[in-house]
Amino acid sequence: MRLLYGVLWVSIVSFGLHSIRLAFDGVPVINGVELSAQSGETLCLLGPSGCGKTTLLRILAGLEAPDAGTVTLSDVTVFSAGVNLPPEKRQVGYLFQDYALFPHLTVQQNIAFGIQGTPNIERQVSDLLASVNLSGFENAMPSTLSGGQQQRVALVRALARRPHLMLLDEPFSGLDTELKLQLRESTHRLLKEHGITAVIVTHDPEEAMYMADRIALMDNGGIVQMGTPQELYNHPVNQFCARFLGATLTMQGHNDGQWIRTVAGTFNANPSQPTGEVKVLVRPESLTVRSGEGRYEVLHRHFVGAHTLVDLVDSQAQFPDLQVSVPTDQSQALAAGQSVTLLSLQAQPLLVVA
Amino acid sequence: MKHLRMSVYGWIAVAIGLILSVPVLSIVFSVFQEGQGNWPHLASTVLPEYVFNSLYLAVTVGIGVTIIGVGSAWLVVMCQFPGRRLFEWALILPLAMPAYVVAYAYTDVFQVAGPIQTLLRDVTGWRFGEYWFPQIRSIGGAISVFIMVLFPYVYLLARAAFLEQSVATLEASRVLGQSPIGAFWKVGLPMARPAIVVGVTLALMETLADFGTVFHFGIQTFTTGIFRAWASMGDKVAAAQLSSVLLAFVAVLLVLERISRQRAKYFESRSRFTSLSTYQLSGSRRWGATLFCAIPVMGGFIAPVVMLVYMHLMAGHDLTDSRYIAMVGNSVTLAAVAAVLAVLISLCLAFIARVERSPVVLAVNKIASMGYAIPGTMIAVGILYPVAYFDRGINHLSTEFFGQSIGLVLTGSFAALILAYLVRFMAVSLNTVTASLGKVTPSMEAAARTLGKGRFQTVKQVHAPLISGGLLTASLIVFVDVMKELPATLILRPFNFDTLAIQAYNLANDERLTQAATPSLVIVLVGLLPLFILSRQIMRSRTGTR
Repeated sequence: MRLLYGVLWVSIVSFGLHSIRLAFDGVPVINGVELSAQSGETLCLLGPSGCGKTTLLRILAGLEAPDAGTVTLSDVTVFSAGVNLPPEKRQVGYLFQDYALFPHLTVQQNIAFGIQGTPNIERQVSDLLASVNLSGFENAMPSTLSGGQQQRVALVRALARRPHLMLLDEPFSGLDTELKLQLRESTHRLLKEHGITAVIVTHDPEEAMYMADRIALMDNGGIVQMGTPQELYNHPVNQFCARFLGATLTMQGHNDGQWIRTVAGTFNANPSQPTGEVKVLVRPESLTVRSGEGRYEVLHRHFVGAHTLVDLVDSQAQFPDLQVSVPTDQSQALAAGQSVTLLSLQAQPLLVVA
Repeated sequence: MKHLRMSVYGWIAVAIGLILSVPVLSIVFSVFQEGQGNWPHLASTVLPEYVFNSLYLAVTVGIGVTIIGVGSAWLVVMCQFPGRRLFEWALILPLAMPAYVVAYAYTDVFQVAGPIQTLLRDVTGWRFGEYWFPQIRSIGGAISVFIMVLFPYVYLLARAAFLEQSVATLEASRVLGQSPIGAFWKVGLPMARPAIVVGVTLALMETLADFGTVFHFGIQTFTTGIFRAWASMGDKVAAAQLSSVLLAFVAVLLVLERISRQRAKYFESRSRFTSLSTYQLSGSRRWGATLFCAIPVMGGFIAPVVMLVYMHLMAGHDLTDSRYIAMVGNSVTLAAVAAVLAVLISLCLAFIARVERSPVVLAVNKIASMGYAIPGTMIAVGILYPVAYFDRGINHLSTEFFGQSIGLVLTGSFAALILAYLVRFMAVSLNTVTASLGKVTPSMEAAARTLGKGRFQTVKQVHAPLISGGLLTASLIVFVDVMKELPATLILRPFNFDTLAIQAYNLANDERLTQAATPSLVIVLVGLLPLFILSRQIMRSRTGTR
């Protein structure tokens, strides 16, 4: 597969978006976004629907023109005041959410669509198809392919042009779980093997963490937090980020400036956190349960595989009910009605808010 | 800031919409006009009769097409009986028949001097007046003709609605204790009701729009009245004022249809989990079902076609005659010009609607596709008198500046006639073109662009191949509709300009019905063309459910 693109094609490209603004009918969609990526990096735009992540992708591709700002691709300005390079001249690959295969063309013609006029088209197409295990599908019509096959055809159709930058809009959203995991892996490998800079739009935090070198979490047309998956998951800047990246538990606490006391024990405080009565957010897996005298009583266990979810009720009804995630082998000891204490495995909470 | 102001394309769409609404606007404005003062006279003498006859026709035709259309659709979708697969597409064949052609055929065969009554007298020895025979030239005759020709509208929509119904709901009603018939009355029929209403309103629009049949049968309706006000009294304003009353009827139907279409969408089931299981009819009910479907196909298509062929063979004209060749040429030219223009304008409007997405442009497209509800007679009158004003104005100007009149520019010109066709048949063309353009998703356009194609190349390599089939279908349907069209052509045609439809009308008017079979047959043959496409779609919509 490495030979496919030859040794000369090495991606050395980065892109930059500076002060991007865009409004539709007076409603702001993108509010002064700054974003850039190093060559070979995989960046995920993560966020709820309508947060502007697809619009940002379209701006990069040249399918949408911002009202203000600058777009650079490999240090060449492709958009700014008076400059707007059309999409066909930008050499970016785009994988559309609905794949956008041309229904009137065969698989072969679809893939060859962007490389007409280059030598050895048939050879190129068959090599590309082989790279995604679709050899022999040259003459199939798109409508006869399964969703996963269509996704792969669309992917290699975009890659056929050897794009400087690959843009993927919700690339796995229409697929069933098993296929989704498979294609995540093969797409990731394909991008990394060829060192392609990629921007992936997704609303699935697990997918973003799986695929990304860095994640840009978006909300309301702006970037909320930018960093590695670990940074976002373990050190969210606010509640939105904490909750968007994964499950959280919220506990009441008291912060005296040095210690934060909660039902799950005492955490270290740091000066940036609010003091007094606070809400303390933790990940469910950072709490554990010890049998013995305690505030909580086990109500029910839900076995879900490697972990077991345990419903706890507060015997004095002072604290809201909680559901914690306990490794299954440890959960056996927790019988219904048993009295337990909560214990944090971490010295630092996920987030403390007023 | 984007999308706030309308681009120049938006204004083009608005201009097209305005031109296409000239007939309706001028009819609405006619209410405030004086004219030659015939209106009070018309209103007090003939108007009540027009209203009564039109309502009577609407109610009886409505009941008839509902029973035949819904009944045959239910049988064909849900039951097994001899000939079912044949009837599934054969039931649309009457759509190829213009009502006036069927009327001419039946009149010729069933009238006193026709072959049936002659045979009856020869066999029995009775003489005219000594026996009772149904009078075909009556309101009853007109009702029968309309029912037989128009029921396919209801059949098509009811069939589609029954097919789209979730089988689960029908099965649920069976499990909850309903018999197959009970499931039909309590679940199947209520769910299909909005679609059936759409079909009935379409059939009634055609009933109100008809001119040829009621004129031939001597029934006083709005369309014949409007025609007389123009042809006999020469009062364009009175004709337009009569039209404005008819417009009220049409508006009611149009609103009813649009509302029902919305509701029909609501009742559609999203997906089909199991295939439809059909109910095996047994004994006499099998043949009863066959008969129920066979009678309308016979009456609306096979019998009149056989009659026309017989009439043509007995005393028809020679089609290779130079006069006929000229008429065929005229019909084809008009139809082709109208078809090409309709498709080009539709393409224009559909593209603008796609790019612009402003509520104004969407409203323009709605208005542009309203004409199918408006009778041709009315469109003609609505064009006639603004065109007369225009010509008078031009002449006034030319006399002022050049001291010489330049005669009538638009009156009796092809431009006025083509405009009438465009108004009447824009809907079918616009809907077909919009639907085929919808096959090119926005992401396909974007994909082509990111794959290195400019705008022009994208249109050439993606849009053109994907929409060409739809454009062809649209132009074919408009072509055939124009070939069949009678009243607007009759009123707006240039002097001495005859088409096949006009020739059929003239011959029938002269009581030379047998000869009228020749142009009628050509019209029917051409009318069969779009039905091939439709029947193919019908058969395809069933694959996968079998």
